[in-house]
Amino acid sequence: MTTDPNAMLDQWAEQSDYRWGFVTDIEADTVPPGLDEGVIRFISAKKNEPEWLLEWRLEAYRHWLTMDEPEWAHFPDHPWGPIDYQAISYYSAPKSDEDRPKSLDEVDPKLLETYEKLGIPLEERAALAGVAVDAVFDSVSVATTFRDKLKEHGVIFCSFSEAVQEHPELVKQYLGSVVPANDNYFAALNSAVFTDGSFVYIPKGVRCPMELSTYFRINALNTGQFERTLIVADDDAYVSYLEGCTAPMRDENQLHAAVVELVALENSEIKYSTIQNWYPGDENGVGGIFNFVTKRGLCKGNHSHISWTQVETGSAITWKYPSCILKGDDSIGEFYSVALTNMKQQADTGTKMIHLGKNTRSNIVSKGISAGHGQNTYRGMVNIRRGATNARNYTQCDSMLMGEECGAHTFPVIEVSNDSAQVEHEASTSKIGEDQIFYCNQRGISPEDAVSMIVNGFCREVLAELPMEFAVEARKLLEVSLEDSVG
Amino acid sequence: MLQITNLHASIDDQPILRGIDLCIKDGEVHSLMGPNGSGKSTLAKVLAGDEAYEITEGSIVLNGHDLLEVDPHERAAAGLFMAFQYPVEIPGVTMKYFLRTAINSIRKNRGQDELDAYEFLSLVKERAAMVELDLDLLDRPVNGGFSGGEKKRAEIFQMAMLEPTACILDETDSGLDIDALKIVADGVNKMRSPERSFLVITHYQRLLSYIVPDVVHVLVDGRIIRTGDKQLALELEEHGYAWVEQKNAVDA
Amino acid sequence: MTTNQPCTFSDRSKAIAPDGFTARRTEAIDRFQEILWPTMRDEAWRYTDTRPIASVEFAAADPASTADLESIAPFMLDDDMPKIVFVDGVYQASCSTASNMPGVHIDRIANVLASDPQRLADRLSAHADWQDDPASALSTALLTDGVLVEIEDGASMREPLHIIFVSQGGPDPISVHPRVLVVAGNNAKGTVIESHVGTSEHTILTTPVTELIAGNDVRLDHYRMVREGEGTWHLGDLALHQGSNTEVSSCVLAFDGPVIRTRMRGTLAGEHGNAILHGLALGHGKRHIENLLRVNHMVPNCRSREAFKHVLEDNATAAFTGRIYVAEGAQKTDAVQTNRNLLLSSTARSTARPQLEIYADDVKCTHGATAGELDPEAMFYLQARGVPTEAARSMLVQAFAGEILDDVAPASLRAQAMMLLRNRLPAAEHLAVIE
Repeated sequence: MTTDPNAMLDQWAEQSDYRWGFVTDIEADTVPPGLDEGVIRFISAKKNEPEWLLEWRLEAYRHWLTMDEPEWAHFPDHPWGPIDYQAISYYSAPKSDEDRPKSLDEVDPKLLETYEKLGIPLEERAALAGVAVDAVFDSVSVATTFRDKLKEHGVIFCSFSEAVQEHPELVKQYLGSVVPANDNYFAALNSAVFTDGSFVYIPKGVRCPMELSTYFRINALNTGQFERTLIVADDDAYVSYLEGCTAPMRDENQLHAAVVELVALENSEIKYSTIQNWYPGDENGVGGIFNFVTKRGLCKGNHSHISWTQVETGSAITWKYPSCILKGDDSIGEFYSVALTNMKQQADTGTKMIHLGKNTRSNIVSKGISAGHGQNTYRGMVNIRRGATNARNYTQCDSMLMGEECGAHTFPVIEVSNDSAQVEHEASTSKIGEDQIFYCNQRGISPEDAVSMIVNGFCREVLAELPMEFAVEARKLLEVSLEDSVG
Repeated sequence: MLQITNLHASIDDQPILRGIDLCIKDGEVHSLMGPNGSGKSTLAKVLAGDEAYEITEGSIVLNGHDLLEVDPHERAAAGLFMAFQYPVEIPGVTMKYFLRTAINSIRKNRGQDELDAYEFLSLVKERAAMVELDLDLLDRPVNGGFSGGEKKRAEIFQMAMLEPTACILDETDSGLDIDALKIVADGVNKMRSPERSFLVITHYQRLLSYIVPDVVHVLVDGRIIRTGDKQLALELEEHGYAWVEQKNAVDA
Repeated sequence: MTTNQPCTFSDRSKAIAPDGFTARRTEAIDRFQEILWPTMRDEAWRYTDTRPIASVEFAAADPASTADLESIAPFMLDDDMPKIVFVDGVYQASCSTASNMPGVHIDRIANVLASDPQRLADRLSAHADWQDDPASALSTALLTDGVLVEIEDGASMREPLHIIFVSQGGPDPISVHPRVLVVAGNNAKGTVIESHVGTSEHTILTTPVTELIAGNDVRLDHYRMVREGEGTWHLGDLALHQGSNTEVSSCVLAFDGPVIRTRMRGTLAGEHGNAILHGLALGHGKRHIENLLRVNHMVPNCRSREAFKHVLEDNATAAFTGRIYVAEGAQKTDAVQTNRNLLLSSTARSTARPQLEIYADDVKCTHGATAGELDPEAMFYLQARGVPTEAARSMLVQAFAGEILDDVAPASLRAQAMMLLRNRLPAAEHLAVIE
């Protein structure tokens, strides 16, 4: 397959007559690059979706066509050039069912190697830590474990496609209820073309008996990934969900535009943790993933609680703002983030905390680390609406700079329309301390180890929010990502 | 043995050390005294390898290792320890984690096995008792929120943990009350041994009543202008640094 | 936008008799025609709605405008402080008392433009960022008069200069464009106070622009007191440009007026510069206050301190945007920015956008923003000591504002500001007068 986008366009143009006939050919494994209603009908048909879902997708697509791609003022011209949405293939599945890995043993050894390097062999983790794994390869779910145990508790944890078939009423009720199909450019695109993802439903009063985990990977050339995740915690339920991603070396930019929706009903709690280490591109910024994700949680019920924790070390560009709408009285939203940029990476991340209910609380801790030519931006909003009596927010936003060519930026917006609110925002930017490194050196610790130790200390409050085994991976990841950045 | 020969060092082209010769044999305690700005602390930092200073001439050799050839962490592995005048805080890193990384880095560098958690904790308990260090401090971030006295005690505790062969104490007595001073001195005295040498840098004689030196040097303007026994420290206390300079002039 | 108002401005700009500044006026009016009044979709104007003025046809002021001395008396500071008075942009010789001091030249810009325009070259409108802001562009396009203060190398102003701009207006809406340019030579020292005042309810747009240019080793203090009348839109601009070893401060006291929007830009262009930008705003009724500031750290070893406080009652709104920019290579930058909002009613609203944009690694930059009501614990404590609720509230508000007012050096200005604050607070009789 050619890798030149122009050549691909030409190829697509030649095939376009054929494409219309292609729509009903649901035996095909992939569609050629390009996007139109036919492709969406193809995806929907391929997944045997109900009519309402097809209509929902088409509506999203039609809206998407009217929207402009966002251009953040702060990074007007990224060196990667504009994204060609017609050069992306919107559906690809593994060749055939026989080729799908039946268990984790059959997983691509290259992927396992990456896990190995991070000190967490996948199969070991699943076995030892009691983690249920729902691995997404390309866009089709292939392996789920621990299903039975979850079933005993009435927990639904399955691929999104399965949920559409088996629990259509739940999907219909909650899909798009937190992130509407027309929410933003990338969410609209996702809504039109999403292929799979995860679905979680925790019934009333159930505490999910294990951490739920999903591994994503992007591996087919030019295949954008458009996951859709929906997690619903019913009254008095609890769930902790872990999302980790890794990608092998690539030459081609790849678009990732996932949507994650969380719904927390009365007195429930959802903890959502992410480790993101997709391919960041090389030292010249070539290759690497575009990570444009919409994540939002709705604290719908009183006393509900949503907590986002993320460690972002990968991708060429990350735009991601996991947010909480605090609608229920006494609900709590939290955001803990570590974002590390090295080489020519750009991370633009933060959160929105929208306080609607009374006595709502939010807490934001953001740690940005910039090395090499990396640019790290915190962009956030705290909005206390008129009815949100006694709302509280505390935001702490610290940046650490390593090297003279990187940048750290902080752009928060704080809107307060209720006098009983208490909102506090603190931010600081500082260099990694030479005196700290020297002190460690004097005690026999090498400069590399000293930097890694100081950075881990800087991120401690965030890492402490991660489940234990994830925290270990995160620490390793920070170390690996900072390799060679000590001058 | 720590052998310093004709050491010259400068910062921003400003010479600070102008030819230091100093030889501390194993088992000896030397004291370096001098007025503010004489270069005492510079010498300590240069020995430890602070890159802010440029070495323009001379050599530093510790037990046959040329220290100027190696980086600060390798100097530590070679057996050099400096107790900082102002120990820096490292937020988020617990003292325990820090020390275990330090001790195992040094052991690895020396080709020794790393200490396991049990061995490490046993050593911690034993050595913490030596300087009457509250074990709770070890679960706090490195020097984070420590009082002045706690910081200095923690420095001596780290020295006891890392078991160096050459110990540099940079004004460890500054900011200590008399009780803390005694505890720190007591810790140092317990560590005195025939294979370990000390360089105690201080402004005042006070510390030397508790850590009795074999040799006292007086540093003025980047040069050692006088060397003597512990009596010299007492005379200095009585007459001040100007007296040494006058005396030197008369001797000359 | 289809109003004929930009045309009016254009005609007015073109009607100004040609002088040394004509080329810049033309550039500026062209720029204004390009950008016009932005909508709230524009990031810089997201919190100030320009629709009420966008379609108004603003005329020039009557060149014969005069002040009623009695009506402006309450805005004066010390009687013997040298002052210059303008009414609707028209110079008032009868009540202006300022004259040159040793080493200090105080002139009307109109006179300098006529006699020696070279004195203004590369200075006037060189630092105010008129290209990016319609009010500042307009001010440049319609500039005809104002005050030039030149402090020679090594000279000190022996006392502060007070410049009073009275907004008076008439039945037809007018726009006025006050201008101040302070140029401090090396080793110079000085203090300049501006008052923008008025009691009239006529529709007036005022767009004051002040530029402070400091050489090396300069100490310069600047204050801008805003007490406009009920019909006056105040869209101000302030630019500071500092050489090495300088300390330049500017403090904006936004006390009265329906809309007070102030842009401040400080540029530290020489090492060891210290920029101090302060602001205090009191908002009640439907007042709207906006402070937008940017401090550019262009070179190493500079320091900046920005502190802005907003006290909001009733339906008042305040917006703060502050950016600390640290250029590549500006190592050892030390910058601290705070914005504190005190909301005294459930319908007051505040927005804060404290921003850091940093391209150097060896820096210490922090910002903090808070919004909320009076500390209930402090309230309780005072009440427990027998202070009535109203007085306790007033006392805490006074303390909140006091942190800015304490740094106002000229005693008469500080006393005036304190008194205005006190008069705004209920149960003032319980409060001790703080000097």
